[in-house]
Amino acid sequence: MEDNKAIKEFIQSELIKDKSISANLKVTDNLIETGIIDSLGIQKLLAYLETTFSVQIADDELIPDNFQTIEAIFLFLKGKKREG
Amino acid sequence: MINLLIMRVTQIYEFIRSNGWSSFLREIIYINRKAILAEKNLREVNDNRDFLQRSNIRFLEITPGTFDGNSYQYHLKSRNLKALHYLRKGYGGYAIARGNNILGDVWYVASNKSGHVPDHPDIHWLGIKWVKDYVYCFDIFIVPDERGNNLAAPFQNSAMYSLRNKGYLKAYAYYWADNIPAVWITRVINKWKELKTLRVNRFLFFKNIRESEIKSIYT
Repeated sequence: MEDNKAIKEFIQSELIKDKSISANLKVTDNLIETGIIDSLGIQKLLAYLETTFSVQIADDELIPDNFQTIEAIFLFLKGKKREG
Repeated sequence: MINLLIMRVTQIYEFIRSNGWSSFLREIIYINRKAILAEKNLREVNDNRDFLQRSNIRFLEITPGTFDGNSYQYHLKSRNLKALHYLRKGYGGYAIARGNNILGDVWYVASNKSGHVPDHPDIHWLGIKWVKDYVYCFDIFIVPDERGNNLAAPFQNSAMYSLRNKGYLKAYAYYWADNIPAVWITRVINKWKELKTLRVNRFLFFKNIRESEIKSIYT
């Protein structure tokens, strides 16, 4: 759950410019359809996830299922950590 | 020939100035780089130009008259030279602009009315099987200052919608797997269907396509 919170805080502080959207962000909000993760945002997010959680994310893991929501990102990372 | 040389030199100079020498070397010398060929069924594309209009941005088709009398200007000289080069080659293009400043462009190759396809080197090395109502899209560009403003995806989509309205059925494009923004826009946001990957080696002007494999569809 701490990871979940850290990811949310990163997205709120680094990817969302609008403070009202940032304040109301939920872990189930769709980050792709709302445009929160855009083409530059995904680069920042990947760099953050790889550094903070010591994982390597391959290009074929860049699919909507893994990045749709904060919850999905958390589950994706959990799966990667389990893989070792 | 001289125009082409001037364009290339300007392009290299501006690329190095903006991205540095190491990025430039990575573009001309690489081993086993993964390219992804994708297609979009244009009948699936819907209009989303509202987004651009809300940002006070105009979507326009590039024609030889677009640059007459400085009606529209590029921020980078190399993009202007490229646009003129592409128009001379018979390619089509779209742009987004704020005021008279062009913020981005994208190009395509299509058959003309007589069925003739302008030559484009990518069509050969990507192994695209050409059909009259298909288009090949390439070289989408957004000026650095506008990156991160959510423009690339709606711009690509608007171009596809416009091609659909011209009667084209399918578009092809390729992107490098290590180009994260391109993967994100094309695969995740605009949901292009990936057809195959190609492994490419390049040393300066020499390019070698090592293998190709059919991939499963991501989306």
